Amino acid sequence: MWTFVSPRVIVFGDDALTFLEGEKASKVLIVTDGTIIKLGFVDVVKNNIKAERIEVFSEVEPEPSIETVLKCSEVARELQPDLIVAVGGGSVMDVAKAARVLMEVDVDPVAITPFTNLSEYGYKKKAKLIAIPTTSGTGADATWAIVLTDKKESRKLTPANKELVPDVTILDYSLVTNMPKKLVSGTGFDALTHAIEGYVSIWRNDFSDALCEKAVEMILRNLEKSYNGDVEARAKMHIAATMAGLGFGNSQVGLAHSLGHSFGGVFRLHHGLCVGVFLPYVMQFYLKSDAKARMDFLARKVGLADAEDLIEKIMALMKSVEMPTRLSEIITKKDFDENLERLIMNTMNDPSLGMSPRVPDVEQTKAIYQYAFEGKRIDF
Amino acid sequence: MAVVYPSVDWLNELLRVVNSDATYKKVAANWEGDFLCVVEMDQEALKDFQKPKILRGLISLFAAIPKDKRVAFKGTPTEKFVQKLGIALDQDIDLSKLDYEEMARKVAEIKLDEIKGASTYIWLDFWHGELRNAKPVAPGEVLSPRFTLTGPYAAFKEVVSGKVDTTTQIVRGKLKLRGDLGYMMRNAAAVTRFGQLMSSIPIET
Repeated sequence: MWTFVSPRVIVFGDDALTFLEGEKASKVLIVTDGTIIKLGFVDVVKNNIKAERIEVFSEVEPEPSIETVLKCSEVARELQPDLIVAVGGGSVMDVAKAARVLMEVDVDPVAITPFTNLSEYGYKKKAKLIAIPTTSGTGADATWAIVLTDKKESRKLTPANKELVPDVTILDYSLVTNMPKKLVSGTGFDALTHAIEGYVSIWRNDFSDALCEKAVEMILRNLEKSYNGDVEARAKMHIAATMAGLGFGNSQVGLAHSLGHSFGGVFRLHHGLCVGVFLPYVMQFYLKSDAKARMDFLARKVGLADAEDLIEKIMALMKSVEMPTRLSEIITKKDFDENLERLIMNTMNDPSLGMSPRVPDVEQTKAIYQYAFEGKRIDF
Repeated sequence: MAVVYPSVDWLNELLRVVNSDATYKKVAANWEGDFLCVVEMDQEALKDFQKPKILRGLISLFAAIPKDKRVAFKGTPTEKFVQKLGIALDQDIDLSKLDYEEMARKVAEIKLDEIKGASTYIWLDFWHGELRNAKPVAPGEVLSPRFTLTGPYAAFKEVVSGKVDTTTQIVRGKLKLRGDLGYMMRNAAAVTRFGQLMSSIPIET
C-alpha cells in the first residue's frame, strides 16, 4: 500500500489571490515575515478575506527554529483560528504547517514523524491551512515535510506527517514577479534538487515520477530565463516548484538534502543554496547505482544524451544563474576543516539519507564533502 | 554464514555483526534505547514453518525462553500454536530430540484463524554503539521498551532479507512503530546502519 498526498485545491494564475474572496472564517491567523509585510502582500491577503478577526504572526526568520514554531503555535492556541494563511517562502509555510498541529496537541515538533498518528494525540485539524508561496522553490505549499533548525545542536530537523499538508495552495504569479535574482537562483535550484531527488528516490512511484519529470523539464527550460527577468518563465517556475513539491513530497528526497541540511544547519545558510550546490556531486555519486538508468532516462526526456550530459547541463545552469558550484565559494577552508566531522555526523543522522538510491558510509560522506569543497568530480 | 530466520542462530549472528562494526559503534555512540519486536504469525509464517529447518529455528527461540517465563503465554494463541505442535509451556525442550518433519506436517494442518494473534517477541537492547542483548522474550517480560515494532511475519521477513527497509515498511503500513519517535528522528544514522547490518546477514531458506 502506498498513498499520494496533496493539497485539496491548487489555485494558480495572475489573479489567483482572488480565490481568497470566497473564504469565510471567524478568526484568521496570518503567518508571515517582516519582508513580506513590507512588500504589502499581507495587506493584499487581508483585504481579500472576510473574517471577524485577523491576527498576524510575522516573526518567522529564515531557516526557522523550533523556538519560533513554538512561539507561533502559542499565538495560535490563544487565538484558536479556524483559518491559517501562510504568506511567504518555505520558512513561513513550514512554521504555519507545524503551528496548525501544535495549537491543538502538545507534542515535541520533532516527534511529528511519518509514523506518528496525530489523531491519537487528539489532533482534529480545527483550522484550515492555505499556503501562499512568495518564492518558487521549496514546494512547502504541497508537501508533508517541514524543515526546522535546532539552534542548540546547529542542525536541521525534518518533521514530516501527512497531516501537515496545506489544504489549499495559491500560486499567484504577481507575488514572485519582483523576486530578487539571488532568491530566484537559490529557490530554483531547491526545486530542481527536489525534482531530481524525488525522481530517483527509493520511494518513487508512478505519480511522483510524472510530476518530477515534468518539473525537471520546466525548470531546465525556464530557470535561466526567469533569472534574467522573463516574466512568463518566472510564472512557469512558480508552477514547477509546486509540481516538484507534489512529486518529491510523495517520494521524498535523498543524499543532496542530507548534505544540504547538515551544511545549512552548521553554517546557517539558505536551504536552496545548500541542497543545490551538492546536487551535481550527488548525481555523480549515483552514477554507480541503479539510479544511473533513471537519470539516463530523465536526461533523454529533456533532450540530452545521458546522465553525464544532464549533470554537465546542471553545472552550466548553476554558473549561468550565479549559483556556487563548490563549497569553497561559500565557506573558508578553515571553517570547512573545523566543522567537517560535525557535517559528516549530521548528514548520517538526516532521515532523508535512507531514501537515497545509494547511501554513502562515513568515509564516502567525508570524501563527498571534500570533493564538493574542491569542486572535484566524484569518481567513487 | 547463512542462518535460518527466525532462530537463535540468527540473533547470535546479529549480535556478532553489529558489535563488530566500527561504523555502527561510531554513529550509534550516543544511542540509548531498546526495541521490542512483536512478530505476528501470518499465512507466510505458516507456509515457511512447514519447512523443518525453519520450524526448528522458530522452536529454538521458544526454547530459549526460560520455563518460568513461558507461563506468560498461557491462554494465548501462541500457547495454542505450540500445543498443536505437541509442545507444552512448561516442558524441557531438547532441540536435538524433536521430530521436525512430523511437526512441520502438523503445521500444514493449522488454519491461521485457529492461532490468530500468536506472536514471537524479540528484544533488542542497544546501548552506546553496542547491541547488548538480542533474545526472545515472553509477553510482558520487557515492560517499557523505548520502541515497539509490531507486524506480521512476512513484513519482518522482507526487512531481514533486505528487500525493504524498516522505515518503508512502516510508511507502507506493514509494520507499526510506537515509542520515542522524536529521539529516533534525531538519531537516524544508528537506525539506518543497524538496518543495513541486519539485512547483510545471509538467510538460509
